[in-house]
Amino acid sequence: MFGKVIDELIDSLRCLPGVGPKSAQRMALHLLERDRKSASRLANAIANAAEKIGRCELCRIFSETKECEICGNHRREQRQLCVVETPADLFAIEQSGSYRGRYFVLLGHLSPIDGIGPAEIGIDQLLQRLSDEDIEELILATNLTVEGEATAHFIGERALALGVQVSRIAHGVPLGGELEYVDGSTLLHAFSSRKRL
Amino acid sequence: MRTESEHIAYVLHKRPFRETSVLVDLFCRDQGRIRAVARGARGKHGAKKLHLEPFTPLLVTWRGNSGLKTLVRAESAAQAKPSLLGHTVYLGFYVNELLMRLLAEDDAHEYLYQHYSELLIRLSSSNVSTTSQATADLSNIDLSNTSNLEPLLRVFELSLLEEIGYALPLDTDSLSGTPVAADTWYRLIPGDGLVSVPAYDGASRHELFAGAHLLAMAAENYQDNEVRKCAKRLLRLALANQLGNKPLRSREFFESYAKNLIETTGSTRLKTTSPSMGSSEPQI
Ligand SMILES: [Zn+2]
Repeated sequence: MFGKVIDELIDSLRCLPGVGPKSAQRMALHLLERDRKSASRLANAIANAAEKIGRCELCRIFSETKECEICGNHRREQRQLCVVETPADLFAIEQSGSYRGRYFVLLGHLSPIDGIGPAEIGIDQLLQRLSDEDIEELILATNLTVEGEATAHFIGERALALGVQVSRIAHGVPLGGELEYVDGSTLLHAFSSRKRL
Repeated sequence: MRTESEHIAYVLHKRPFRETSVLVDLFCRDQGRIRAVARGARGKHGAKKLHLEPFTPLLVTWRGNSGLKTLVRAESAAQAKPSLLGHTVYLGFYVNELLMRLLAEDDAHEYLYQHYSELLIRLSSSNVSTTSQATADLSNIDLSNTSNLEPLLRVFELSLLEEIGYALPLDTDSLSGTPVAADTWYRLIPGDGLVSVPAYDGASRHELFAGAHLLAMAAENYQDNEVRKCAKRLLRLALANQLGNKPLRSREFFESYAKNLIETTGSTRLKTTSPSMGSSEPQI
């Protein structure tokens, strides 16, 4: 409608989540009409990132260096390793400030029916780390879903066989949760992992 | 007019669909296997409204009559129904994959549904080790338990074949119609059933099934390890005829899982179920 170049821009913007043809058009026109400077900056930033960002060789989150900032930070607890499913999970734990060790990101969970087995989520690499490094505790922080539990079970068994201490994050009644409204299976878990005071 | 109805169902499988949705296969008591899209199920909000965990009965509501349906609601049907834990989950994945592959859409199988839910209860009550019990030690891992579960899977596979119209009578020679004899060897003819082999040719023994083992299977007596092995071979073959060339991925997963566990733990305890045999990893 506006010519090849603009059409290409609009089409490219649609790769973003939640961006349909209408919003893509609005974004493209905004960048061109009012904010050419930002447009150039955005273009550079995207090109730079697409070229330079790889994955941390240790934990597999995005990183522009071989080792990400967390893995390369020697003030962090080196003997604790926390396994999460996604980078978003890692960021959530980081934001809570509750953990000072390092991570391993699976980038998924076991899903045998879809052909996603241990190799597809980097479990071989994780086990290699457990053998190579001096890790005392492996914390399994995969989701509390059937798939997350299946994944935790799998990794837990392998890690125990290597003589590493393994723990699973606790699950139960959420903070601010009223028992009356907590579902049955959560209550069941809360009771089975109750703590002595 | 929109049609909405409430059903009791299990999630067989789900996979991401578009940006925030999930495509889910359900096994409904009164509708068989259906496929529905759960819009926004991957968002924070959607996950609350749509509880889509496998192996627990759900109360689901959908819109649409045939083909792809739209899931409106899904919540846990029963209070605190234990889900599968530990390696029994992997067996559950296997059973779900079988149902995904072999059940046609929108074809009710109430008996099979009942059998499935009983199977899950039996599997969940056999949970041995769970990672929820933090730092469980290795001695808790006992795969011989899986061998005790094997017969449950075989009986379920037989009833699945029957439900989809490929019943496998274990006590009748399907060619002559005569009862299976304990001292005779049989061969599985795809589409026909078990047929006696008059002159036993030692070379093709791996394709043959002993009458005595078939009769034990018919009586659901799986005490003897040889009967289990016969049942596994027979059902593999019978299922392969329905499944075609595409392998069952969850079976491949479980086999490598069990094999590796034996190698890494080096446990002889795992082999107790069949002391006489060299290769004895528990299989499904
Ligand atoms: Zn890293």
